[in-house]
Amino acid sequence: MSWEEATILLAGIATLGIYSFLIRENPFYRFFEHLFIGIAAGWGIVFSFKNFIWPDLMVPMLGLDIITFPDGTTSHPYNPWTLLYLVPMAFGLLFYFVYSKRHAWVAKLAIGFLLGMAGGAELEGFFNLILPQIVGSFKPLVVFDEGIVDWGASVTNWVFILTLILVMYYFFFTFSRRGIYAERIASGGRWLMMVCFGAYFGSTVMARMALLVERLQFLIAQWWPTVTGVLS
Amino acid sequence: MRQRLIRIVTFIGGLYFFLRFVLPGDINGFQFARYNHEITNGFRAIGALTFGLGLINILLVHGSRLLFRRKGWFTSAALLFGLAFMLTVTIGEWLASARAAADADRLVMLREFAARIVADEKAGDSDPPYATRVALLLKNATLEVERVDQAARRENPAGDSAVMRGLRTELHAKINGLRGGLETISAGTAGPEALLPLAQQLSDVAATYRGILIEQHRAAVVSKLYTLLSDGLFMALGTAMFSLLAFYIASAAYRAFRIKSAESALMMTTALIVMLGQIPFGLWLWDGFPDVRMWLLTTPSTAARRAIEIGAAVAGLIMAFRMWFSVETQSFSRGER
Repeated sequence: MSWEEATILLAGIATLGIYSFLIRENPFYRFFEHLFIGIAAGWGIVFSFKNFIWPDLMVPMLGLDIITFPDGTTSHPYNPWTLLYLVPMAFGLLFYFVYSKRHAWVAKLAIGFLLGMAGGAELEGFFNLILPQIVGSFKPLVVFDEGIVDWGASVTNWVFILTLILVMYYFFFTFSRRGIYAERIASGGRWLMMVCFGAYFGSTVMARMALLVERLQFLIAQWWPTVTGVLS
Repeated sequence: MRQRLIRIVTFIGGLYFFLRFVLPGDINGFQFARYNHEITNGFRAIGALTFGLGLINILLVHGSRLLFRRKGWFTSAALLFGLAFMLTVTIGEWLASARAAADADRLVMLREFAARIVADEKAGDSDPPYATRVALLLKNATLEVERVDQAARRENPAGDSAVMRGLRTELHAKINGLRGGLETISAGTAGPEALLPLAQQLSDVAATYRGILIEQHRAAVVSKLYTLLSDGLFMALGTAMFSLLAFYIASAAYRAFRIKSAESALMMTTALIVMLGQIPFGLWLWDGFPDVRMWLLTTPSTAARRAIEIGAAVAGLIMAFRMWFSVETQSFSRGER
């Protein structure tokens, strides 16, 4: 049996193991579920080390990015300031105090630092991500195409802006909504949200279906011929 | 005292990013964000070290279950086996591919050496002298070409693939070209212009040699094991796990969104149109479904989602400030003070 055949056979057995859950929860499913968690955890650890800790921290600290040429000169001098990375790394080790009953509070320093970092960075994220979206949402209400009104584009823009305002109004709780018109506007926002939820629900179903079809195609077109080929 | 220290550290954590955003790029010649890349890496380093927490927790929970043969020990053994096997194979594959890359980088180093010699000579800053450096370049390039030629000749015992045969032929031609180039250059008389074509030839040989090394690496056992784990288990299990939801999403939707009101009817109708717009059956029913689907997704759906996102972002910003100033401390440390 070749490596390719072994890979296909294993993938098919693993797929069937997961699908066995459709009958009922069983040890076969639980085995593959736990195997998946273990493999994903192992992959994640190496991925973060390989793509960040090693190239961005360890390589500059150890000077491994310096090329020594045959005449003894180097591509660039060693930067001793990179050793400062040891400070945040040592600080990150404070997380491991969570395992000490007496000094568990020390871990809160690192957790607090990360929370503060996320809080400070949020301001930049808000203005860089959300403000362009707000500006971009207010589209021209009358669209001209070579001097003639483009009714299709104009109506689309009206619907877009109206939806945006009505849905935002629905979530506006600073003042109480009084009067029939205020209620109707909020109700319109809820209706438009239903359209949004329906569209996303439909897209999610189709995405899952695409994965299912891919798996079934694999089982029928690749796995089963390999099984029969190996057995014969 | 502890609480105050935690609050101060939390505030310091967010200070840099806040200042980076509010301060101008240049303050009388002082660039605040000059070392932004390094500082951001430092911040990321703190978070990156949490990977060990996950590992320790897994070992504590599943290791103890396996050790004391508690209920579910068999599945814990599967998890730990998967973890250990994936760690070993992925690290092995990484080291092997890094070795292959380092091998080809020796040629790249010579190309950069040639470029450096040319740049230094043009700047009138050649130390050691130009002729000595060119002689060193030619000597090392000749040795390297012979080494690469020998290394690339090592055949796969199971037979070479068509890609590998093509790469060998290409490399052979490029090496011959490089040998010819090396013979025409004399250390004593060659000007900087003569080194530039040599640098290009070294680069070409390195690119093809790298291709051969990648092919050789693919044929290695560690690489096959990695493919077995990643394609045979990791991707297959992940896809199967997510596609499993296709079976449940329909029944869940039936329970959650039964058409009991006009609003839920509108939602299900929109979902139906979006689904019909994506499958051939919908197109067969009416060829306008894909356009309606696209309009629904890009106009009312995007607008409603954007409105929700804007509201959530404003709330998130306020929450972020509360966290930064430790106003939210009590929510996270209730009963631990």
